[in-house]
Amino acid sequence: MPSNFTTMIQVNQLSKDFSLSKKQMAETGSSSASLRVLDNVSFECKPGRIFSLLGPNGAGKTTALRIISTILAPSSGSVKVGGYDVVNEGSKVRSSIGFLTGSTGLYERLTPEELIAYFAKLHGVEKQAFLKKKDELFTLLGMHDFAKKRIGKLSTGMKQKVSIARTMIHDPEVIVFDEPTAGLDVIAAKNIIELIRSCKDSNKTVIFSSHIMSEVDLLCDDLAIIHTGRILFNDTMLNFRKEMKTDNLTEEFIRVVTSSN
Amino acid sequence: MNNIITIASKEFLDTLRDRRTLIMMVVVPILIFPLIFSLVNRIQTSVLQKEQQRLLATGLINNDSENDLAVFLKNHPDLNLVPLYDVAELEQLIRNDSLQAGVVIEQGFAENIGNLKSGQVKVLFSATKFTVRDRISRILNGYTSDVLKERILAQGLDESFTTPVQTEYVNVATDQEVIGKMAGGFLPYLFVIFCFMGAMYPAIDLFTGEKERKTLETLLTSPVSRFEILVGKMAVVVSSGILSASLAILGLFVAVQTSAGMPDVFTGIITQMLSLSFVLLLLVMLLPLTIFFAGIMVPLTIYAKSFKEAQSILSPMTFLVIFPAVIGLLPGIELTTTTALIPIVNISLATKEMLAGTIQLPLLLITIFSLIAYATISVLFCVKWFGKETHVLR
Repeated sequence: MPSNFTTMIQVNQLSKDFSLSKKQMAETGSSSASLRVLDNVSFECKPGRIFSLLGPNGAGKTTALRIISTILAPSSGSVKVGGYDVVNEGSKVRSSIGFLTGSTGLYERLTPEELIAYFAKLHGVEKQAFLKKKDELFTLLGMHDFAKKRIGKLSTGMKQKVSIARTMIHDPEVIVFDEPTAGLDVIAAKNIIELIRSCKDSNKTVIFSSHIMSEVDLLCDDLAIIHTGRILFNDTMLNFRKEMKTDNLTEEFIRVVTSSN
Repeated sequence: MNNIITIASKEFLDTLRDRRTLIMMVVVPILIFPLIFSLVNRIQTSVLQKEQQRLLATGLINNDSENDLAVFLKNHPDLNLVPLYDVAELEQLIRNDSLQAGVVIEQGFAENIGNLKSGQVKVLFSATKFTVRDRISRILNGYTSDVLKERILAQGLDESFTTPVQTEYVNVATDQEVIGKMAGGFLPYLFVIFCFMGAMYPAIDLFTGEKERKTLETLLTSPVSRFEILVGKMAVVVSSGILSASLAILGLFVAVQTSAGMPDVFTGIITQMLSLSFVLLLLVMLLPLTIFFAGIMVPLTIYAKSFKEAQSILSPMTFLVIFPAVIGLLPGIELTTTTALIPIVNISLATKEMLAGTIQLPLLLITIFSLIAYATISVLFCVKWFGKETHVLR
């Protein structure tokens, strides 16, 4: 895939509507049969930089990342990854993406080795390249000891490492992290933080969603704050800090979100 | 195509490592026939032996003078006769299982018989013992027929006096036709059920299970198209159903070959039925049927959020499969151009005709092509369903 892009992910006036069943309409008290979860969202992510999508629960972060990963289709607007359109060139987009969420499950009846080989094949990785990358990742993450054990018998930390290896086996240009540290203990979360940093060092494009300001502060270069499907702030982290009107980042995040209500 | 093979191989490996699926898909079908045969055989042998060995403990109250019936009963080899005098006592002994039956010869019996009238006999028994009434009745009929014969001869008549019409029933059907029509309805019924059951657990595991274990999103972000994912997974669901039915056929074959005490005619015919050409033709029909089953199951398993929900939706469907299969067992329902179009019913009836050797080629072709048509429609529906994000990420 082309790697000389200055903008790797380009989200342009993206909107997404979900249709509601009668039951859902009654539950949400909505009179409309559709719910707008993303409303004219635009942002860009660049190689070698970490882009964070920050917002409270239900803001539309996961929906945006799912559209970028082609799992969902946009209702209107466009999304391009590496120059490829997510609707018309979904397969090419997916080839260039590594996708990881904190709650990603694994096939528990397979071994890490089998699982990694499966995803490498699905991504069309050549055998020699696969063996080299697998060895590199297994050594880096210390996975050789449990490579042949069933995943169901591994600890949470070990499973997290398998997830990381699975995400990176095809050496993707773009890594999408959807709340990657949610539900993880500090040690497992540390693995993820290190992964995100190493992706940046190898000039990959990283987009991750979070609702934790401290995590964002630790990692990100560019920031978009999203609330009820709309972008409230979209600039560099440096400028966010400069324009702060409160004492700390979390309070500033809350101020931005509440002032929009 | 490579992607489909990759997905199918992984899913097959995953499925074979799931104990629950493995039991339903492999263990149950392969063991069911040998177990049923050996159980039926054992029960049959033991019941027969018991019946044969057991003498019927019978109380006799003779309110008449010495008579032929009392002598006949005393000498009968199947009876262990206990002389009694009180009916109430006889009743009590039958109730508490000390005796199985009682015969009361009423006063004037011998005189009535001598005067060519009916002698009165009362038989006491408990209807809770199924064979007693029949056994006593058979013994008394023996005496009745002896007396009747004597009376006819005394009148100078021929024995044929009592049988004005002598009927001979001639069966023109071969043993294969008879057993084929009987077993023919029963066998496909079982294979259809195994196809369904064998496909059901992998369908739930491969679709709902993927959702429940939160692995679906990861799979959907791989470059493989949804169509390839669906086909790869469905291939495993269908193979599991076919494997399950094939193992049931194998189990039946082994059971027939090894089961002792089975009538030779039956064993011979079943072996003949399970010929390679029959099994292949059966599989030709079971394949589109299983694809059709998968086409119905998969959208439901895609829609369900949890294994439990999928199971509660699919389990009642077993009855929908059993019902048309049972129609094939009913007498009088034959394979026609109409019934050949009804899925499940058609395979059941066609197999019945095939086993009896009376299948008509046009009807067999209608059956096969209608099954292929249903399979195609259901797969197209599946593809459409799997493409809808609201169903997949519900």
